Amino acid sequence: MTLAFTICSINYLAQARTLGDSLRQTNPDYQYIIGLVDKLSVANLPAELVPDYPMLEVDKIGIPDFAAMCDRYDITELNTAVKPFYIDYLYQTYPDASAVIYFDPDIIVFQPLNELNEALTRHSLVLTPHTCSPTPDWERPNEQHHLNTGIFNLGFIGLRNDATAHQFVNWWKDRLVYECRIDLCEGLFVDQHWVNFAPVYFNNVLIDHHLGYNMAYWNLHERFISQTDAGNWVVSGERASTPAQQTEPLQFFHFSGYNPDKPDEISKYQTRYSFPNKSNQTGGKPYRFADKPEQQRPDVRPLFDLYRNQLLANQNELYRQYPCVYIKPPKVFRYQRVRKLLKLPFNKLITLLESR
Amino acid sequence: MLLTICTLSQLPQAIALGDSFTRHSVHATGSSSVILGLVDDPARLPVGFVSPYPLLPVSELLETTLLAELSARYTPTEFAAACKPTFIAEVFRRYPEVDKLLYADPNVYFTGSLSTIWQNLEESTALLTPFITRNPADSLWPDEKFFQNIGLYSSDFLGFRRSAETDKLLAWWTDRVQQRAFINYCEGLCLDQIWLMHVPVFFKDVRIIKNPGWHVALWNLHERSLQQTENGWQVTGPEGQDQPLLFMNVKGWLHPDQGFFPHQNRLRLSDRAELAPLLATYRQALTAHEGLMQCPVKSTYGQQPEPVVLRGWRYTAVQSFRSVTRLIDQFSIPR
Repeated sequence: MTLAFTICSINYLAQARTLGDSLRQTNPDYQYIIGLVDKLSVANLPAELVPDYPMLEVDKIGIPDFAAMCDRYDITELNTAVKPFYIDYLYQTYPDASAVIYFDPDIIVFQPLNELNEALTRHSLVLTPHTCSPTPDWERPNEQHHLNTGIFNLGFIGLRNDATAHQFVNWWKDRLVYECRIDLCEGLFVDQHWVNFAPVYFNNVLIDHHLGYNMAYWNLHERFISQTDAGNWVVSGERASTPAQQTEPLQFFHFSGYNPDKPDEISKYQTRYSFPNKSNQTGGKPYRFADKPEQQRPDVRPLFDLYRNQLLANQNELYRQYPCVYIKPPKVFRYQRVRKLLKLPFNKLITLLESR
Repeated sequence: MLLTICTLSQLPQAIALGDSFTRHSVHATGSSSVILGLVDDPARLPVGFVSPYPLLPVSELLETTLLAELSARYTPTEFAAACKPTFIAEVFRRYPEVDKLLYADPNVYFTGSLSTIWQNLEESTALLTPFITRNPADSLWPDEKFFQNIGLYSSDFLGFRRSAETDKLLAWWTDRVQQRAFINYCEGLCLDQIWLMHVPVFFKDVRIIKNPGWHVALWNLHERSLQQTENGWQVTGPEGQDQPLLFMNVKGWLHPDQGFFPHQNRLRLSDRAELAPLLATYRQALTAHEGLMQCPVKSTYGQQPEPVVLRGWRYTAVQSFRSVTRLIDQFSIPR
C-alpha cells in the first residue's frame, strides 16, 4: 500500500480536495490523507464542507512539545516544520505501507504515477530539483535563489518505508524542531534547504529528472505543455513549434503562488513569464511582455484555467474565510530608529576591530 | 593531467603537490603532466627561478580588460575562484591529447595510487567530494548551516573527463563565476564553490565520491580515522573501511587562518597524534622548495581586501558585540 498525503490549514482545503480528487481519479490504489494544521473542533465545518478524505489534525500526531513549536514558528514555518513528523507518524501507524508520498496541496496529479512507484521499489528517497537545467536569465526565480533556499523543491518527496528513509526522516525531524526558520544569511530556509544534505548523507537517493514531475513556475523555461488528440497533457523540452518533438506525459503540476482571484498571473513569486491574455489589456495598458513572445506562455494557460475551475467547484471561496487557529499576529519590531541608534557604538567598535 | 592554481607565495605548495602527483601517477608522461596556473604576475618571479612544471599565467587566458575588471571586482581569493573554470577549459583546449584532468588546490597532497581516480573518471564526466558525509551530531562549529552557506561540495578537488557534457559544465560555470564569485552568504554566494551544488542536477554522470580515503582534511577528520600500515596510510570512515589514503588537503591544518574554518572547534589536532607523521612528510616536501619562500606574499590580482581573521580578545569582543546588536534588533517591546 502507498500512502499519499498533504499538509494544510482549513483555508486551503479546496486545494487539498482538488489534489485528492486528482489522485482518486489517476491513482486509486493510493490511500490519501490530509494533514490538518488546524482544529476541526474550533472551525466546526458544516457538513457540505467536510472533505471526503480522512483528515489528521496536527495536535494528534504526538509531536513532542508541540505548543512550544507553535510559539516559535509563524504559519509558514509551522506548516513546513511538521512534514517529517507526519511522515514518521504515518510510518508508525501504517507499518505495512510500502511508501509515503508527500504532495503540497496546490498540486494536481494527471497520470498514474507508475514510474514513481517503480522508482520507490529501488530507491529510498525520490526528490525533484527545482530545475534540471540552468535558468536562462536573472529574473526571479533563478539559480542563485535556489542556492539560498534549496536545490530540491519540497512540495514533493517520495519515501520508501525502509531503514535509510527512516534515518533521513529522524535527522530531518531533529533539524526542524528549532531550525525551520527563514534566515538566508544563516543558511536556513524552512524544511526545504535542509534536504540539500539528502544525497550527501544518504545513498540510494534518486534525483528525478523526469520533466513531467513537479512542473511549476520555477522550471517553465525548460518545459512546454501541449495536449494530445486524446486530451492528455504532455511535456516537452522545447516549444511546441518544433516538429517531431519528444514528449513525456505530464505527471503532476504544482500551482505554487497562484491565486484564482488573479487568473492572469502565473505566480506571485515569479517575474519571468506571463500568459498572453487579451483580457489583460485593461485601460489601454498592454499586457505584460507583450513585445516579448519568448516570455509568454500560452501553453500553460489551459492548465491554470482548469485548476481555477476545480478550486471554485471545491468551495475555495468558503474555505479561504476560515482563519487558522495556529496563526499568530505577526511580530512587529517597533522603534527601529532607536534600535539603530543603540546599535551604532557597537557597530563602530566591530568595524574598528575588523580593520587592519 | 593535474592542474593547480596558485599565487607566487603558494608556489612551494603547488610544486610539492605536482611532485606528489607525479610520484603516484603510473602513466605520468614526464613533467608536462602537471600545469601550474598562475593567478599572479610571472614578472615578479625570483630571478633565475626555473619551474619544474609549465606555468600558465592568467594573463594568457583572459583579455586585458576582463582581467582588470575581475581584479578590481574581487578579493585575491575570489579572483582565483573566478578564474578556475577558465583555467580548466584552457588546459583541455591546449592539450588535446589529455582525456582526464584533475584540478587540485595547492594545499592538496597526493599520497596514494591515482588509478582509482582515473577509473572513476572512466565511468563519469565529473567527480565531486563533499565536505562531510554524515551529520556531525554535535553542537560544534562548523555546523551544518555553515556548510550550506559555503556549499556542500569542496571545490579544492575536482575531476573531469573530456566530453561534450564537461564542456557544457565548464561554459556554464565560467559564466556564473565571472559575475558571482563573491563571498556573500546572505545572497547565497560563495566563490566558485557553491555553484557546484547545481552540478549533480544540471549535468549527466556526475559522481559524488564519499570514499574516506579521498580528500582527508581538517573538516572531515572527525569522521575518519587514519592508520599507518605496511601498505601505506589507510582510512576508515562512515562510507568505507581501511581505504587507501589517496590525497589530503592541509588547508587550515598547517595555517589555522587559511580557508573557511578559522574558528573550527570540532577537532583538536593535539588529540590526533597519529596525524603527526603525515604532516611531517608534508613539511618535508615543502622544504625542498624553500628557495621560493621569498616570493611576494601579496598577489597581483584581486584588489578588494580580504576579510581579516580575528583571534583572541578581538574575536571574543566582536562576537559579544554582535550578540548585543542582535538582541537590540530582536527585543520586543510590549505595547
